[in-house]
Amino acid sequence: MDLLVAVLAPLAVAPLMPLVRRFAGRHVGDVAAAIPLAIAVYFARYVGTLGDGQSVAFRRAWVPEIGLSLSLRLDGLSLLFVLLISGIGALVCVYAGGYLAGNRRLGSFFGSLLAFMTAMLGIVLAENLLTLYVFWEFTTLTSFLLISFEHERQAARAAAMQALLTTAAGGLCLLAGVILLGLIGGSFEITELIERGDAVRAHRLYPAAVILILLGAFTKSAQFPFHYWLPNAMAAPTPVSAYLHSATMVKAGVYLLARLSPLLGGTDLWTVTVTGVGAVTMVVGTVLAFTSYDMKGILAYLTINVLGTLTMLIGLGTELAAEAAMIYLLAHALYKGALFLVTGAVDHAAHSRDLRELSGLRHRMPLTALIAALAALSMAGVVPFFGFLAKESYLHAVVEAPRMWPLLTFAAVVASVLVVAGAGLVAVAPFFGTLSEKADRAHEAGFRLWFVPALLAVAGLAAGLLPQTLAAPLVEPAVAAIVGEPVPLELKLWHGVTLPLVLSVIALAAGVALYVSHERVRSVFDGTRVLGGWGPAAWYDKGVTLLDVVAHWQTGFLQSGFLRTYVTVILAMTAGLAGLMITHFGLTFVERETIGVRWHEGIAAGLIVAAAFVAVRSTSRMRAVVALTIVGFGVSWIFVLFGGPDLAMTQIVVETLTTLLFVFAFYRLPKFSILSDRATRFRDAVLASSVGIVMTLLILLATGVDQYEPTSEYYVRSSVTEAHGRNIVNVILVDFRALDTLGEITVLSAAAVGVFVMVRLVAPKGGRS
Amino acid sequence: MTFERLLDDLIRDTVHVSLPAFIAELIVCATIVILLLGRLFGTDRIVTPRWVAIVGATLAFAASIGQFGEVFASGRSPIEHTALFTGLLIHDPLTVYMRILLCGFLVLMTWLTAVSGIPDREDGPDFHTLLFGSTLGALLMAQSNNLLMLFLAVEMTSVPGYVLVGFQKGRRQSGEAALKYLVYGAGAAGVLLYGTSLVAGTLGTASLAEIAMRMPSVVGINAGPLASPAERTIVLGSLFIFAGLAFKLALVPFHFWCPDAFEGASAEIAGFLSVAPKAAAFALLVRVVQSLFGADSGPIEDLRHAFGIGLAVVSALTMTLGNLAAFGQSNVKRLFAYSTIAHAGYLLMGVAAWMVAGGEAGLRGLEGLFYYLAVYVFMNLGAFAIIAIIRNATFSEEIDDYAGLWARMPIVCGGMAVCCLSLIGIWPAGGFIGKFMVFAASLSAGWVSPVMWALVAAAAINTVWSLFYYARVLRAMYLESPTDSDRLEEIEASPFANALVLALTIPVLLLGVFVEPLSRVTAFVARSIVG
Repeated sequence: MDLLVAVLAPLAVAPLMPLVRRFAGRHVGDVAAAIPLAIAVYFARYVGTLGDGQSVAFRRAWVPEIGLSLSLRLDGLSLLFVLLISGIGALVCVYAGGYLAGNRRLGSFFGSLLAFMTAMLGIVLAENLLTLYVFWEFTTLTSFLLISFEHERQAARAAAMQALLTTAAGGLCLLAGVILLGLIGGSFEITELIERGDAVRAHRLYPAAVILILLGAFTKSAQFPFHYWLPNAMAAPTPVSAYLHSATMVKAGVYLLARLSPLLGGTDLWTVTVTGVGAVTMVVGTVLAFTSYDMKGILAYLTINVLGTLTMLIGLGTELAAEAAMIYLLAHALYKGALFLVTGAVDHAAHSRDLRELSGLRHRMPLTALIAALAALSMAGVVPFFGFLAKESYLHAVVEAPRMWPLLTFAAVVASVLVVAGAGLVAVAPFFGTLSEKADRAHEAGFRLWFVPALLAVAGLAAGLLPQTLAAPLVEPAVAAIVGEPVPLELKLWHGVTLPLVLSVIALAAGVALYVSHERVRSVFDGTRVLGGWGPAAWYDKGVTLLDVVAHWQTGFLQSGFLRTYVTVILAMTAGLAGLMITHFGLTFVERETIGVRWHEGIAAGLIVAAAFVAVRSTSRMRAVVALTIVGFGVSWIFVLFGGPDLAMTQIVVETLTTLLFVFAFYRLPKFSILSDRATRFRDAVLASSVGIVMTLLILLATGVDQYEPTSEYYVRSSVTEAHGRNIVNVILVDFRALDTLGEITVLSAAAVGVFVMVRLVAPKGGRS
Repeated sequence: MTFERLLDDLIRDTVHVSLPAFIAELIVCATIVILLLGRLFGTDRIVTPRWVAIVGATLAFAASIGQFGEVFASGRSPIEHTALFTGLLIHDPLTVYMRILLCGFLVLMTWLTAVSGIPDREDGPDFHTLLFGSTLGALLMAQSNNLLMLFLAVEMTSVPGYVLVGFQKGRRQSGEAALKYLVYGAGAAGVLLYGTSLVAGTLGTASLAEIAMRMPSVVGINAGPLASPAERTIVLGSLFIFAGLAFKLALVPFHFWCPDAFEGASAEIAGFLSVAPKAAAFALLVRVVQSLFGADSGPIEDLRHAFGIGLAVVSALTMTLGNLAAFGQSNVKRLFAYSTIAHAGYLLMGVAAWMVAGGEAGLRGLEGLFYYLAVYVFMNLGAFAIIAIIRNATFSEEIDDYAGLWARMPIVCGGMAVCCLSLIGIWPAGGFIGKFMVFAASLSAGWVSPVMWALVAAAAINTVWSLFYYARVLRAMYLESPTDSDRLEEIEASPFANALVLALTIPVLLLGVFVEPLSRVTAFVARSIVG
């Protein structure tokens, strides 16, 4: 129950935020921060109690018919994420209160932010895969609101759209994968599925489920080739970028991979795909960082790099890799959060994030520069920052990878070099050098704008200095949850001279060298922009355009607006289907005596056919109507011949009325003319004849059915005994089917009233002409 | 048996059994009569027709709600599939469920016409007569127990529909749309009638209950599929009946009338046509399937299975064509017209899953269908209602003119967001649950025939596609800035319009979050169909 309350608390408070804004004014962010802070404090008591893989669970049925239950579970992995989400969430609330001060929609902003927190907490605490999916989609939704918050800007719109479409499409893939998994494993509860892991992995649908789930995770975590949406989403307000696009939402995919790796991992498909995609993303992210001059853009690409690294580590599936992933996750949250927030402060003060316009900012914003430096050192992996530990542990994991280790190590080192240089780009370039014009007009950030990033940066330093005290209690249970057994963890800065340390030092040195010459290197990297034309973002655009073209074509083709086309299609379909069946099974007509035609029947039939032909060929409306009337009377004659006198009567009267209606309608019709050409009429004739032939065959087929006694025999038999009448026609009309006759009379009167009204409407006009 | 006895029995049955169960329909009839008499005696100048309509619809809804308790409250059915009016209609949980949905829909519909003022005071009685007449037809469709009744009910729903489409006099487009709809509908009616006569003629009865009993005596007596002429005739007749119903449901390839008719009609009428006749036609489809293929015999189950596969193919085609066509539209009404075609495809998945899987697993498909229908009533009428409200404010139905409306009509635009999310199938909107249920049912039907898996794959791809065009509407409303911001200044939604939007969209959200109450009911309804 506690878990449920914790998850739903931010959402419950969210609608009140506009009201809070009215009363709290400038402090609305601080008030909003109280909720995630309370959650963080509440969950902090679990730190140190979940190390051996224990967990706290809550379960309640929601939609039992489809296996959807509201079940939550808190274990080490969840705890790490919960603390990140709530802790950084509280800080971001405070920061955003300063960053967006004065915005008139601040209330709804915090409302969306809190709703987003519920969605994130739901994802990391969900025990049921469907519940997880539900919260997953909820993040898509709330993030859409947050990204488009500054929606006056064109870029924000397009970005919000692209992010929404990409992640929502991925989400639907995830849903399909989850449902498949549920069908395979017979449950949607993650722990139950893990117990049946072997059966799941051996199932023939396992690959499909894996691929679908990976698509969901990869789109969410901006893995190559879906990475394009993340840099574009940087149009969002900076606190949102820091929170969603660095600390929490993009990590949901990584979380999902970590959560499901005991269930789905270990197979070739999983290992190769996840590791491979992660490694490619890791390199692509850092390379692309050098194509951007926007500080946030660079940070976004570097975030893609980290997400790739984490994915790669989870794909490796070793104990070392799991450890490294969790350490790196924590380190990244601290330093990248700080850098994003620093960028926000710079943007706020200098009204620019463009590296070409910013230099020498340290003269105007010394405090901010210091914080940026602290964070960047951690990012570059310099002793004694926590980032150093992270870098060393992941290099260690890669070096000891069970397969492909030389390739992965090479990729990791290349990426590390570029990350170091990237750290220089965001933390050195804007702050050092000569004072630029924009920078000159800047001023030191307000309290909230430097205090919050400072907290994060200092935490990064503290965790590096005292890893065993501060970081291990968080990381250890998380690793235990992934690996499935308690893993004793010893975090320390100095391991002696090892291969990872050597690689780390090489990367650092090469990175610094690269940064020094980055202006020259940039032109090389700019070349990768050409790839952009063929890159995934372009596929996205081209895909949308292609779909558009196909859609227009098919609509124009099928939905032409011509009734004639529509009728042609429906008639051809019907005749085709029925004809197909008839030809498929052949025709077996039952020889019956009744099939023999008597001469007066022949005359009736001939008359009908001839009249129908005249009606079609006629160039005079009157003649056509008269011919149609003859068809009608012919039909009633047939009714008489085959024992339906009441039907015949009704038919005759209806025919008469219809003819009258036709005649009245003539007054309003334009001059008769033939509008169709010969070819069209030929086509119509073919269509009409084939429909007619098929229908005739069908009737002949139906006459072969002799299941039940015809009603006429019943009438003949019972006329005298039941109704005491010898005139069968009379008996049928007024006795057996008296109610029918009553109904027919009513219908006829109604039709007559209709004709009367018609006459009244038309007569004056007709009289004049 | 003497004549008096017969008459006595008939009267007793009618007065004591049929009429009390039929009270909601009677109120609808009475409302029609009052509206027409009001016109005759000129009282429509004293009491506005729209108030008569709202009161009538509300009373009918209240009467239908009254029956809810007796069917569902106890959890078991005291209603033993009572046949009404000498077996032409049936009174069972599905009847009551659909009655509540349709009467509730009628209330919202009359409210909408009152808000948007589409029939002016002069046309009010005519308009509402047609509206109530069509709804009455839909109510009868949902409870038909006889092939003849089926045909009459379908026609009763359709004929007022033709007139309603062309109701905006003097608009050329409306007249053209109405004519197309009429010609197309007449063709479909012919096909339907032909099918019913084939089936009734072969089996010697038109009663759906009797048909179910007699089917085993015809199907599968000779070895091999479709070996006897009678069997073939039945199958062809069923095909034609399905084609006639497919017309009402606007399934491919019988969907052509739908976009043209919707574009010609006002948004209100488009909303009406996309919900009431379709919902009723789905109920009717379920009844027909149960009657034709419900019997417990191997050959009949094979037939049901084959028809189910056929419906699955139609379903995939319908959603694909509908979605593709919606993709390129710049007119919001036309866009939603195509999207309703796609939704008929999703809804049909539930029926197909039921027919293919059969048994306990098949029931899930029906449950999903009924749940989806409940959500569909709100979300689809909601979308069209919002189009009408916006049209009244901006005089436009073009997406481009929706730019920046968010700031001026927050509740209306919020409602549109909920409707779009629900139509896409994103939680927390109810459309997610509905879609999920039919998807899940189809997936489990995939164990019987992999075609169902292909269907789910097609549906999933379609859902992703649909995201693109629904998002365009939201994007215009929320993200784009208006080209002419002065024009927006005067735009405002009336409190009544806002209240209507809330009444339509809050249930969509509630159905997404509180699933159990309704899902229990739909499970009960589904079970009662199969017996």
